[in-house]
Amino acid sequence: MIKKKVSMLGSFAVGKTSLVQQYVRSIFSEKYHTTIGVKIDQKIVIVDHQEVNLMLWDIHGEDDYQKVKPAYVMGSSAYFIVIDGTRRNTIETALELQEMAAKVSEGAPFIVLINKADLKEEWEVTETDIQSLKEKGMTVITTSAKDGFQVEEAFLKLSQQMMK
Amino acid sequence: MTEQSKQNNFLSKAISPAQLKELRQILTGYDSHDLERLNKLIQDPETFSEEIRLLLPLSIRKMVENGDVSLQDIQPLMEEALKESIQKNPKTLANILFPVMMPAIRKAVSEDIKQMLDSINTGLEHGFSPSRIIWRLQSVFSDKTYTEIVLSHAYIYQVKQVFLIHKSTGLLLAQVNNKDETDNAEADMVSGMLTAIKDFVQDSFQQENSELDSITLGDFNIWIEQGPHAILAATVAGNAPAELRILMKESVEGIHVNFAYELEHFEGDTTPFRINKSFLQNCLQKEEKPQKAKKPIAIILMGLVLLGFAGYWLYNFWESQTRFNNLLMAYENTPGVFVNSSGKKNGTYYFRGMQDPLSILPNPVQFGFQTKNIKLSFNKFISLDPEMVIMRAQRLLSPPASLKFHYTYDTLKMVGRADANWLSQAKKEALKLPGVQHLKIVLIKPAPKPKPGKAKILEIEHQLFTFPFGVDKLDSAQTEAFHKLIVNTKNILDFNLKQDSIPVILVLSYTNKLGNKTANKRIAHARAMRFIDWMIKAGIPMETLVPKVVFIEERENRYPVRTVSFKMKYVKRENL
Repeated sequence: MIKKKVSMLGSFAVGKTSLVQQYVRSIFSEKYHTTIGVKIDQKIVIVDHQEVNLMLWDIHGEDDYQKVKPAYVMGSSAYFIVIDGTRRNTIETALELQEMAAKVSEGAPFIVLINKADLKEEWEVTETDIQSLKEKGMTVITTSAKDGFQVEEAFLKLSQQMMK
Repeated sequence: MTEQSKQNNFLSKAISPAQLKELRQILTGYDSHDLERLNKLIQDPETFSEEIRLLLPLSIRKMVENGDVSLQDIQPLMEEALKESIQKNPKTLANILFPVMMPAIRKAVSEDIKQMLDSINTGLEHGFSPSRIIWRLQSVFSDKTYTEIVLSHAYIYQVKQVFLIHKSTGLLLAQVNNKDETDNAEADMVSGMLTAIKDFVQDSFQQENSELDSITLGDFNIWIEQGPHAILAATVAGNAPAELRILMKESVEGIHVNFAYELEHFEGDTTPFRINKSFLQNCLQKEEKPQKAKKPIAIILMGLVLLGFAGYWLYNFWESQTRFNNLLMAYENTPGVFVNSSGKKNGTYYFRGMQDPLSILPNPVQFGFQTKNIKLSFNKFISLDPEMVIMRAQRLLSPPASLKFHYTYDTLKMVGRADANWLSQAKKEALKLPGVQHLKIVLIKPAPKPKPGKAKILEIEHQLFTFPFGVDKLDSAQTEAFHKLIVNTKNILDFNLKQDSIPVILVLSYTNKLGNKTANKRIAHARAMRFIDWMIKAGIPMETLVPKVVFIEERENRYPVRTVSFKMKYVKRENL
């Protein structure tokens, strides 16, 4: 079986852990538990008739006091950059993290997830912002860890990109 | 002018410099610029060595590849060079090797110290134990020193699981576990977390030339051995020896040699590592303490419980059976009752048989039975048991109290006294009784009245006088009793003086052996003599009174100390 390391990157409280929980266990909790260090989960997906064991590294959110250690991202075959749709400033952190990830995991595919689609009326991230990300050549998918909107699709798409 | 200068002069006149340059280029293939550079290269050693530097390694490699020169040819030169360098100035080489040697030496020393401490700890644990004495004996009778034997017994451990983890991705390449452990489905995540912890520790506490090599959790350890591309992590229970670390190092090296390509070009396919796990299997070491034969406590307890139940059941069975037998015996021993069959059916005890209406059946409740558990079926009949015949005779004949009935076989025997009227009536009626065929009457004369002297003697012998401590006088009640004693004694003496035997009154004075036995005896004797004095004064002949001291320990008696009682004896005159 093929195993691949997939990292979840993003600012704090953007929903990285919730996305993993929704994807792996189909559950969502309203309670917020900050991730300390790294939490590791796994899920087996089938890409092009081949089983792939995704080792999901749910890395703690980055803020001014706690920077993500590049060592955590090293060796990732792919990664997600997660942005909170209700907090526009998470885009900036996302871009910084993407830059770091691109250095330590050179050539690894990634997808930008704009999470919390269920709170669309509270969104600060605009269509222009999304368009701007796309213009940088990034794949952007809107997701909701709460109701599972496009979560499965996002993981499958990243897996497919990774296995190309 | 020399021959050479003559030639040059001739050429300079015959050919122009430009033509000469062209001719030189045709002949050598180099233009003047190239020739100048080559000339300069030869002239300037600095530049020449710079040019050669780039060519030499390639040249040597080519030479080795082509077999022009072998490593064996170079090795002696290198060794010679190193030898000469060390002999000349050892410090230079020491400085060169310092960055390599020091961490290696430090690590070796620290592991040796750790091993020694572990051994000492274990050695202390076994201090003053039987095993330590055995080790001493082993050292005496073998070539090994005591320390060696202690060390050999010090490590008791088990490697439970071994993970091979890809270093940069943290992905689990392969894992093996002890056969008595279940397969760990979480191994992939454990592997990831171990890598994350390792990354965190190394990133957070950046120490040059140091790597995370163990994680301790109580008695449980995770030993980590890192290679350039892969990490070997072993979960160890107990106190493992440093040899395990060496084994892990060798395994990591072996893995890197055997899977060099797979590790360098790892893209998630773990198949090659899972196929060949021999390096990991090799790390599954363990050393077991000699197991003491454990007492099968659970089995013993279960046995005791079963035994308890069995005992309880047996006791109940025995007890109820005993009660049943007792009741059966009681029925069988009851006159007028005949038990034909008995037993237990559906939890109920039953007794079947026959019962004389005059007989009284024993109550089962008195034997611990509940009436609901007893079923009695007795048919009525006339019993010829002697008791029943006698009872029937008594009801019919109403005999006087002085007459008793006895029944044997078919004969009713009347023994005692009865008046003639009753007897004549009884003779007629008795033969009507069932089972009475014959009648036997034994009449007894009235018993003679007891001799008066005997009663008096008994009265005297039952009298006793007990004195409180330090008192040697009779109180009022005792005085009255004393007078009665004197009267009875005089009667006896009057009555018996006419006989051929002479009555003698033993005056018994009681004491014990506590304290001074001789003194006690003396006091008791004095008490008896005093009593005899009183009796003589009251008129009892002196020759009939004999004092005697009795120790209460010497015989069974009901008398306390400081008591005086009397015993009458009749002595033949000739024996006096």
